[in-house]
Amino acid sequence: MPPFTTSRRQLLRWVGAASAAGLAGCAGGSGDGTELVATLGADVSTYDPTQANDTTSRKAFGLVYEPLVSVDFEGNVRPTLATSVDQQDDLTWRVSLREGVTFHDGSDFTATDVKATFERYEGTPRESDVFLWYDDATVRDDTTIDVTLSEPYAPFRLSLGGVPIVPEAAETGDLNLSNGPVGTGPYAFDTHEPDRLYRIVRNEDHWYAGGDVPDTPPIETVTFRIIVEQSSQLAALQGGDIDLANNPPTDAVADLRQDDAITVSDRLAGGFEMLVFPLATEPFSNRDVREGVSRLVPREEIIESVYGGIGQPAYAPISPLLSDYTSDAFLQEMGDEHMRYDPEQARQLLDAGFADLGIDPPYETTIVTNETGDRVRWAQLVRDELNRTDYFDVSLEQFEWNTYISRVLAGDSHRSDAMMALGWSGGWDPDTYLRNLFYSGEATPSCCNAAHYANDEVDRLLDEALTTYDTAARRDRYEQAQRQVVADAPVAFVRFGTRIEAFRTDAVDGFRTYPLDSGEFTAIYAPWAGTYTTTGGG
Amino acid sequence: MPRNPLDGRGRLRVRGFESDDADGDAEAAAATTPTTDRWRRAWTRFRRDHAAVAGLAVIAVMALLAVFARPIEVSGVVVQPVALAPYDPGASGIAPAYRPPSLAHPFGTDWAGRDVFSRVLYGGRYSLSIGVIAVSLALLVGVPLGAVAGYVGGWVDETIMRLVDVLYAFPFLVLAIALVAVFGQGFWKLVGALVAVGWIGYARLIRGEVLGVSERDYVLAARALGASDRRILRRHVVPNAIAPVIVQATLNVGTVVLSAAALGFLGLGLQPGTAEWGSMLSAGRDTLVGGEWWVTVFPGLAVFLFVLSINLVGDGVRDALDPDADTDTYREAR
Amino acid sequence: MSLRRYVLRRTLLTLPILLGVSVLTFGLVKLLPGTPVDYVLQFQEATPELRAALRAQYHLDEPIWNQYLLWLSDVLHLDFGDRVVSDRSVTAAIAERLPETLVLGGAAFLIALLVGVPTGVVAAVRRGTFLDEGSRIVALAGIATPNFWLGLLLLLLFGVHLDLAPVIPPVAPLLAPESLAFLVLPSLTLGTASAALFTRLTRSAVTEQLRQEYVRAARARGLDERTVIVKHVLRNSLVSVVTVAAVQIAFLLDGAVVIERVFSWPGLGRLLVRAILQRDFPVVQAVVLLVATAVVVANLLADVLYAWLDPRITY
Repeated sequence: MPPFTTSRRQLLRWVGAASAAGLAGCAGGSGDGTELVATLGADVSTYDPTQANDTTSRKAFGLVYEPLVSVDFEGNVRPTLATSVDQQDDLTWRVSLREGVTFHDGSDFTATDVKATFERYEGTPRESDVFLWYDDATVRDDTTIDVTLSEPYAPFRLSLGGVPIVPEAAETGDLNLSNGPVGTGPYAFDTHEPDRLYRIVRNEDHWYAGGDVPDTPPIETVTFRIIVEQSSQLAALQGGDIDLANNPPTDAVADLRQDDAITVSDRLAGGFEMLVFPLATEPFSNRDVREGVSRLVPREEIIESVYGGIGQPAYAPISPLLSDYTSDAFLQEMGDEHMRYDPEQARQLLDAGFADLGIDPPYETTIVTNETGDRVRWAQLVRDELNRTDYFDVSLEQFEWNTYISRVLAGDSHRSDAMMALGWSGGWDPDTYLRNLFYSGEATPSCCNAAHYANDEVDRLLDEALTTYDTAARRDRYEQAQRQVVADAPVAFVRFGTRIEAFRTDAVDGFRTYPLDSGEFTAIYAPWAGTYTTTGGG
Repeated sequence: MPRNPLDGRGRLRVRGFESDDADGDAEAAAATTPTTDRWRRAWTRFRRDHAAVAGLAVIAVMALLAVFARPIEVSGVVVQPVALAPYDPGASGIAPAYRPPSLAHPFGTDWAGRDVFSRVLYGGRYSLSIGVIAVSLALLVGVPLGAVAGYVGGWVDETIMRLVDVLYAFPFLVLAIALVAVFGQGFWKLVGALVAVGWIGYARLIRGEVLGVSERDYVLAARALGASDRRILRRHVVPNAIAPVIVQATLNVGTVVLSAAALGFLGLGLQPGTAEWGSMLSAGRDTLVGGEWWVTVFPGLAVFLFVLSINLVGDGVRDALDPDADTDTYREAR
Repeated sequence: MSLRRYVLRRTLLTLPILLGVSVLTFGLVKLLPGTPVDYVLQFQEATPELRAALRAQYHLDEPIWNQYLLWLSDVLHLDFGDRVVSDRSVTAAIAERLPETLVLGGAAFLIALLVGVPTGVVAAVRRGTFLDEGSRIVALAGIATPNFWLGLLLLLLFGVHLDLAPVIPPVAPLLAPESLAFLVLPSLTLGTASAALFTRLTRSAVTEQLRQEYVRAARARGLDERTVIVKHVLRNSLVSVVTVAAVQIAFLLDGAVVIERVFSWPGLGRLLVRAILQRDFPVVQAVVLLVATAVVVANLLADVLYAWLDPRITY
C-alpha cells in the first residue's frame, strides 16, 4: 500500500496547527517531494498501444514505453531507443539500436522486440500507425534492424516516434499487456485502480546516463487521479489535493492566473476547430455560400468569449506549430483572401451564392456538435451570428460523442443537412493536417473527410508530398495544397488549438507543456529533450 | 351514503330532505353530492395551510413572470406584448461577459455576454411547461391503464403490471440517456423521456386505489343495476381513487423539473444555450469554482423556489383531500 | 389466495420481469446510433477489412435476436463477457466498483434514516407546532435542491474555501477512516432527498399510530410518554416506513450517477453512463440487470412484508 498523501489539511486535522506549521515550507499535495499528483480526465482503458485509441490511455503509458526516436518540444527527432536512423535508399532505413537496455520485466531489448512490436499492429485498431508505411523488417543482429517501407514515406522518423516498443513476449503470447504495460521507459507501471487512480513508479535501471539531466527521474512516484468533472478537478487543484491539472476550463484560466499559488502554462498545440460543410447539399454546394459563412464566423469574439483570449484564429489547416510548413504571413494572406470575419463581404457572397442557386433566404439549417464544452460554445456564437443575418435560420443540435461520430463519420455525411462542428488533432508532420480531411480517398466512412471533398490536384499534391524526402519540395506542395483547400472552402477553420495546464507553483518545477495532447506528461522526464520535472520545494 | 335500490319499493318515502336530486337514479345521487361537497371542503382545508397558500402564490407569480417575460406570437399575431425581461434571453454579446450583478444587469452576465436576469425570467417557461406537460401526459397514460388494470383484473391486469414492473426496475437515467441519444435533444424528446418513466407511478397508484374502491358497496350496487363497466369506472371508481394521484402528480411536477435539470447536467437537455434553468446550472458549473457565482446561483434558486413551492402545494393538497391519509397510500412517493 | 402462494407467485414472476428488463436494455442500447466499432476506431483511418473484423468480433452483423440470445446463453453460465473497450472482464469491472456504490448508497441511506426518522417522530409528536411546520419546510427544501448543485456547493464550501475536506477521494482502502470521512459530503448530498421522504413518512405513520386505541390504553395504564412512543408507536410505524424504504434503495442509483461524477467517486453509476456512451453492451447489460435485480428483490420484500402485516388487503 503506497503511503497516502500527507497534506497540510490532514495534518492540521490530526496533529494540530502548531506542529503543522513546521512542515508548511514544502506544502502541496506531496509534502515529501518525491510524488507528483497529476490528473486524467477519463479512466485509462488499455495498456496496449495497439488498442489505445483514446488519448488518455496513451498519456498514461507514455512514460512507461519508449519509442525508437522521440519528438521533442520543438518537433525535432531525438534518439531514444535507437541511436541512429539512417536512410539506405528510398524504401529502406537502417536503425541502430541502443545497447544495454532492459524492459521492466528484466528481459533485454533487442531488434527482435522492435520487429515484434511492428508486426503485432496488424489487425488492431491502431493498425494505421504502422501499416501505413511498414512493409517488412529484417533483423540483422541484436542491435541493428532494417525497416522496409511499402512506398517512400517522408514522415518516417516522425512516425517512429508514435510507436512505443513492447517486449517480443507480447506478440508470442507469453506476456499479456492487459495486466499492465511493460516497457523500457523511465517509469514502470505500479497500479491502476479503475476510475480512481493510475500510478507509475521510477525505474531505477533506466538506460539514460551522463548528461545535463539527472540519470534517474527526480520524481519517484507519479500518481494520476482520475477526475472526470472539470469543476472538481479545479477545486482539487485549488485545495491542494492535486499538483497538476490538465485542460482547466477556459473560463477559469483568468482566475487561476491571478492566484499566485498556481501557474498556468499554455502552448500552441497541433490541431484546430472547424465547421465542416456538407458539400452535396444545397446551398453548401455553392462555393460563394461557403466562403460567405466562413466570413461570418466571429473568430476574434470566439477567442475572447470562449477561450479567454487564448489562441489564434485559423485560416488554413496546417498549425503554426509546424514553422517549416506555414507562417504567420501565409495565414494572414489566407485569411484576407478567403476566410477572415467580414460581414459586409459575407453579405455580398451570400447574395451571389443564393441567387446562383435560386434559393430564397432565409435558409433553415442546423449546426451539429458533440458535447465538448468549448465546441458547444463557439457553435452557439456562430449560430447567433448567422441568425443575425437574413440568410439563415440556424438551430444547434448537440449529440453525445458516439452518436455524433456515427453521424459525422457516416457514409452520407456530405449529404446531411447540417454543418458539422468538429475538432481535429494533427501531429508533427504536415500530412496529418491534410490527408485525412481533404484527400478524396479518405471520404467517410473510410476516415474523416466528412465533406467528401475531392480535388484531383490536391490529391496529387498530397501524394507527392508524402513520398518525397526533399523538404523544399514538400513545403512547396503543401503550400499549393493549402491554397487550393482554403480557396475551395470545404470547411471553415475557426481556431488553432492550444494546450493549457495549471499546476501548483510550489509543487512543480521544470514542467513544460507538450504541444500534442497524447504527450502531455512528457516533461516529467525526457532526457532526450533535456527536460525533467521536480516537485519543487522541500 | 349509497341507497339500497330496493328501498323505494312498497314503502312510503318522504322526499325533499335529502340534499341529492330526487331522481330515481341511485348512482347519480351517490356520485354528485359527496363529490362536490368534498372538493369544497378540501379547498377550505387547503386555504388554512399557510405554507401551501404561499407556495401557490409563488407559483402563480412565477407563471405570470414566465408568460410576461417576452412577447408571445401565435402565427404572426402578437398575443402577449409585454416584455418584463429587459433583454432578449438568447442575444449574445449585448454586454461584456461575466459581469457581476449590477443595476443594468441585476443577475449579471454569462460567458456570452447574455443577461442572466432575462434568461432566468424566460427560463420559467421551460421549467413550468416541462413540468406541467410531462406530468399531464404521464397522467393521461398512467391513469387509464392503471384503472383498467385494477378494475378488469385478470390477464389484462397481469400484463400491464408486468410492464410496470419491468419499467420500474429499469434505472430512469439509463432510459433517459438512451432515449435522448437515440432521438436527440429537444423539448419534446425530453418530455417524452420523462413521460416514458413517469406514467408507471400513477398506474400503480390508481390500480391500488381501484382495487380498494371496487369492493365498495356503491360500486357493487351500480353493477347490480346494470351500469356499464366504463360508466362505473368513470363516475364512481376513478373520482374516488383520484385523490392520491392528484397529490402525487403535484409533487411530481417538482421531481420532473429536477430530473430535467439533472439531464441537463449530463448534457442531455435542450438545445445548447437554451435559457432553461437546468441547462444554465449545468453550463455554468465550472464558474462556481472560478468565482462567477451569479451564473449558477440565480438559476439554482429559481429551481429551488419552484420545486419547494410546488411541494408545499402538493402537501397542502394532500392534507386537504385526505387529512387522515395513511402511509400506504403514498407508498409510491419518490 | 394465501400468503404463501402469493409470495411464491411473486417470486416466480421476478424472472419474466428480469427477462423483460434485459430485452428492453438490449433493445435500447442497440437502438443507439453508433456501434462499439465506431467508438474503438473513432477518427482513425481504418481499412474495410479491419472494420469487418471488428464487427465480426462484436457479432454486429448477426441478426439482432441472435446477438441477444448469444448474450443470454453466456449469462446463464454466469459469463458476462469481456468489456468492449478493454480486455478486462465485465464481472471484474463491476466487482471493482460495486462496493464503492454500495458503501456510498448505504451511507446515504443510513444518513437518511438517522436524520429522517427522528425528525419525523418529533414532528408527529409535536404535530401542529412550529417544530412540525419547520421540519416539514426544511424537508421539502431538501428535496427541492438539485443534488448536483448541492454537491458542488458543498464541495466548494468545505473543500476549497474552508479547506476542511478533500475534494477528491483519498487514496486509502474503502473502509478506512479517511474514505469514510470523505464520504460524508457525498452521502449527505445523496441522502438529503431520501431523508426528507423518511421524515414525511415517519411523521405520517406515527401520527396514524398515535390515533390508535392502544396508545390511549397505554397512556391510561400510566406508561410515560417516552415508553409509549419508543416501545410501541415507533415499532409499529417503523414497519410501514421500512417497506417504503426498501424501495427507495433502488432510486439511489439515479442519484449516485450524478453524485459520483461530482465527487469523483469510482462507482457503478459512472461505469454505467460511460458504458452507454461507449456502446459497451456487455457492461450496460450486466449493470442494468444487477440494478434491476436489486430493485425487484427490494420490491418483492416490501410487498411480502406489507402483505404479511396488513390483513385487510386481499390478493
